[in-house]
Amino acid sequence: MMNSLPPGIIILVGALALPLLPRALRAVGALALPIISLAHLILLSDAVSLEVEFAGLSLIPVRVDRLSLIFGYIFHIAAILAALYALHVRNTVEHVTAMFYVGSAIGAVFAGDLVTLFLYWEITALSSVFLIFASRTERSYRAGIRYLIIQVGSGVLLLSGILMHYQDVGSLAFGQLIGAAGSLGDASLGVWLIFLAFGIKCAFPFLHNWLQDAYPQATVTGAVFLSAFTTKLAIYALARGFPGTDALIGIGVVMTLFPIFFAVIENDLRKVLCYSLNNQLGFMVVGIGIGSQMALNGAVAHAFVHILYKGLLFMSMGAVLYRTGTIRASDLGGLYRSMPWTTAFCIVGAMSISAFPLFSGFVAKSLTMSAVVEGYYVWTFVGLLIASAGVMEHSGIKIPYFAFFGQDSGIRCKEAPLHMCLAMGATAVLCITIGWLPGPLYALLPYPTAYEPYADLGHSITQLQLLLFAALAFAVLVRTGLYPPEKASITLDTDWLYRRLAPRWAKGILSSLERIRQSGVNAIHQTGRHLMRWVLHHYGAEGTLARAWPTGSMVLWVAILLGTSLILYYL
Amino acid sequence: MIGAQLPALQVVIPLLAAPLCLLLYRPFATWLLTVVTSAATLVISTLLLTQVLDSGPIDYTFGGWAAPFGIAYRIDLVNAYVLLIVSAISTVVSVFARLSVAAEIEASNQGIFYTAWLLCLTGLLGIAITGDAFNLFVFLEISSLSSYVLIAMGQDRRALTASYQYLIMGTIGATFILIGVGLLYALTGTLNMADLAERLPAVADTRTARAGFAFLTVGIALKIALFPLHLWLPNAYAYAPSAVSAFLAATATKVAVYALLRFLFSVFGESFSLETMPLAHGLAVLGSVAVLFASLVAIFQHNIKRMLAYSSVAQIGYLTLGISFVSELGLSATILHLFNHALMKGALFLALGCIAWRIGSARLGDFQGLGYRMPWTMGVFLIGGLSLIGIPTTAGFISKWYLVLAALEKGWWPVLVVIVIGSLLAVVYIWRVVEIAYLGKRLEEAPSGEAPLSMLLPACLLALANIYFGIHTELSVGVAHEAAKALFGGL
Amino acid sequence: MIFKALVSACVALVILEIIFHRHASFPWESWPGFYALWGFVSLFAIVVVGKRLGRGLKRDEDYYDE
Repeated sequence: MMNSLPPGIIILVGALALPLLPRALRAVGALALPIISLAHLILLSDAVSLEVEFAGLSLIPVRVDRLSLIFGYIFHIAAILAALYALHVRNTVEHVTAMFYVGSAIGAVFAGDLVTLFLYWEITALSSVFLIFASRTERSYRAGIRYLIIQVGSGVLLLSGILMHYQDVGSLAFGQLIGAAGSLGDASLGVWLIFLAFGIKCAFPFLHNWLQDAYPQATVTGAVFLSAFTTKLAIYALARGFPGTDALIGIGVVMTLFPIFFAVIENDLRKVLCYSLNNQLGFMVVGIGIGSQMALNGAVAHAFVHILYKGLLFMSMGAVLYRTGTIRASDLGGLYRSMPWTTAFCIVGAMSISAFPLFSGFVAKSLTMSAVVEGYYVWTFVGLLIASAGVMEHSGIKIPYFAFFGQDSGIRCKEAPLHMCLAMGATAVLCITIGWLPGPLYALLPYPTAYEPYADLGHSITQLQLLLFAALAFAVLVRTGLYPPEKASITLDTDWLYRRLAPRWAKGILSSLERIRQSGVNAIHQTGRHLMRWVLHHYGAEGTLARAWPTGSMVLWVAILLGTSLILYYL
Repeated sequence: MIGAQLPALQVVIPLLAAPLCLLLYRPFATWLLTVVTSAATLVISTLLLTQVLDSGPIDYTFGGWAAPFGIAYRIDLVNAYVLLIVSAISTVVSVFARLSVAAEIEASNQGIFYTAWLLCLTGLLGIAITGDAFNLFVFLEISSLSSYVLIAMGQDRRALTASYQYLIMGTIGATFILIGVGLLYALTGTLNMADLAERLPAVADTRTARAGFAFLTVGIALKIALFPLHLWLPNAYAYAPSAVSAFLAATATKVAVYALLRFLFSVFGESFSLETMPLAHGLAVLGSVAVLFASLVAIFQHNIKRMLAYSSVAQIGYLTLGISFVSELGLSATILHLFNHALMKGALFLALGCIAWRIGSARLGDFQGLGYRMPWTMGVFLIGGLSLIGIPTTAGFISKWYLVLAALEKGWWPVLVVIVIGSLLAVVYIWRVVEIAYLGKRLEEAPSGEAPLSMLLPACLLALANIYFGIHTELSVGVAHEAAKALFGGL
Repeated sequence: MIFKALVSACVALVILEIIFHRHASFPWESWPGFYALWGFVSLFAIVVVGKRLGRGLKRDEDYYDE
């Protein structure tokens, strides 16, 4: 019985029960749910699967294998840490929807068929938007609506793709969707649509902007939840359905590169983290695109550690926002005096994401890089090297520098609350532990690996060179005043297309349509009135034209339809 | 013994109860009689359905007169299913009706109201059960005439005009049907559907048969409110008393669709009606336009009852799309949607009835903060709305799913696009209500509190049914499949 | 002070690299100081390009609120 309980369901059902708890205990309840669910997952034996018949389709709501398990574990860990971080929140809606979001994301990685995947996919979209709405500002409401439209759009694409795919192959099982050759050109339209749906959620270039648009508008705690699940669910889905798809290599490289330029000039530090998130997803997408066992291991390991250090960075920036009320780089600086612990945790996160040796990012990224080398993808390697310097710039230096060091803003505030510090501390410890002892993480990966990240000391040294010389360049730029000063501003991205350009066009088109409609209506009224008199001959006595018009027009339609069908039937 | 008489009782009980109702006169007594009668018809139709499921179609002749001379009833899976829908909805809604009607109709008129209700029920059941084409016309007139009365009793003065328009259109429709049946009689010399089906193929090529077919299809299309013959429907549903809107929206057009199915598939046979005649493409085009046009119109309505009425027109579009595929899958989607749409529209209109009872309005502007003022009622509305959109785990999803499968099987991509766009438009018009009710300003002085349990419970029951049949599909899908198979097999 | 520490760390790393060679997969990896130079130049270039980009794409904060 325990075994047949789908992972995630405990959290989903528990989330519904949260409002029954006394108000003060709801946050604790939200923390307890993922802990209980994790215990259940650990007890779950390997390779369980559950099959049911529903509406004539055979579905597999639960499929447990190594790939889904590792995502299941890290999603639970992320949920526990985020719930600990959110212990002060008293908004019940936020707790309930966050747990719904967590539960459905966990359910999704254990979905063995596409319909179940779609269901959870939509629940993640619908529940997560409340974490954005919960900021209760006009901007967050609008951003939330845009987010919802794009996420639900991804769901609609997914469903259409699933239907077509089902039509083609007659199976709903969620396994590898791309052909063995890894070429999208040979794929059916259904598979293309599914790929596109995954791509939206994974923030592929030009499909990415919902991420940078919406996440910075989420609440302090909401952003921590959001950073962990949606995009990594997409990474999981790509790893499951599209390993070895050649196109992903190119897409991934572009994804690692373009956000770093935006991150340089972005003023909102949580938005910088979003660009950084996008860049990190690129590394994982490259790994999935290469598709070798080592590359897939790299992508999955990267997703695992990324959830931790990106969560840590979002937590630290959230703590800053929580205490100071702002997250603009132009308003911050010098906070290390007031928030020494948060500063330290943020630096751990920054060093992890930059892949300093002995931090968690290094042990994961080395896997991917080795896979790139192994496949001898020269240009990919060059691109990722540039991107590595980019990560150092925006996440390694910019985030801690502008928030905690740099020019003193004069803001003096309290250290982050205890539960936030605990959550950040625990995450930081995990980041460092994985960096020192990567063995247990490697043991969890989908494929066996004998990789030793620290076997080649030269590798660690050159990596340090890359990072520290990049830091040196930053220092030189700042000292010479060449580094662009932070100003209160926003940066245009592809959201401009639908927030500015499309509304303008729509307005123009609508007004001309309205004109056409007006003249069309006039013309119809003119001719209609003449026709009417003729048809209505028998009913003519019935009152004024105004009163007879609706009934009369109905009769006219009857006459037209009868006439047409008679003609058609006689033909 | 009684078991053999069930088909007759199905119609005779409400028919006799109606005049009794007029004699009883007192509102409570007449209401009780209506509920008991509806419940009795529900029991009978359930028995009939199980009997049909067990041992195949039932033939019943009145007074022992064999088919060509007497009136014959023939019950197979399709009409047993429709009978169940009609009697079940009538039972649930009539329970709801007591307080709703008490609030909306003067006490002196309530006796007439319930009389008309029972007559309408008689007519609807009669259409579904009869195996005789002329008898069908008679029952159609009974149900139509009584529904004109029911609609005219609406509080709003416009109810009269709406009822009048419905009367005109309904009469034209009925006349067309009569002309059609008359032409067929002239051609074949029989009114019994089974005999018609036997003799028609021989004379199918005559102009008379085709003219008869034209009159019948257009006449029934009017009763169905198929676009563009839907114009009577929005006002009729919008201004009728709340209980009547729920009852008619969930049953009347469904029964008319049944009549269409009966004539197309059983009497004329699908090869004549949908292949020789160009009706399939006509239905596909009109159905698609109905889905798009009516959903768009619904978005801009301020009166939620009217909005739901237009949504009904769109749903009728889905029903005809299912027919137009000329496939077993499409047909079962239509039959399934008959059932599911009755559930969702029933739930929605009952929720509106509760709201009207409490705040006396169905205007969107008065819905501000209603999600907090009447949480249960709005919950029902929300579930009905989700089902209407076709969210998974609701009944609406199941019928949309089969419709989509049927479109795919046929390879009709444009229709698939229409279905998807129609669902998106439904999201928009349901969201408008949800937004105002849950995210709108909470008015302090506005009336709040739930409707009485006798109104709320039936609404909740239908909402739960929407979820139940969204998850447990054996009954609804199974019967719909079998019924579609039976229709394709001919009489 | 921090700057000086950073510079000396960099110098130390270059010396260390001469002692512990990296296993080179691509030919350029064996050039001494390649990674150091790469890191420095990349970051420099990213910031300069980003700055250019900013001139075209920066707007007031209430740009979309009108």
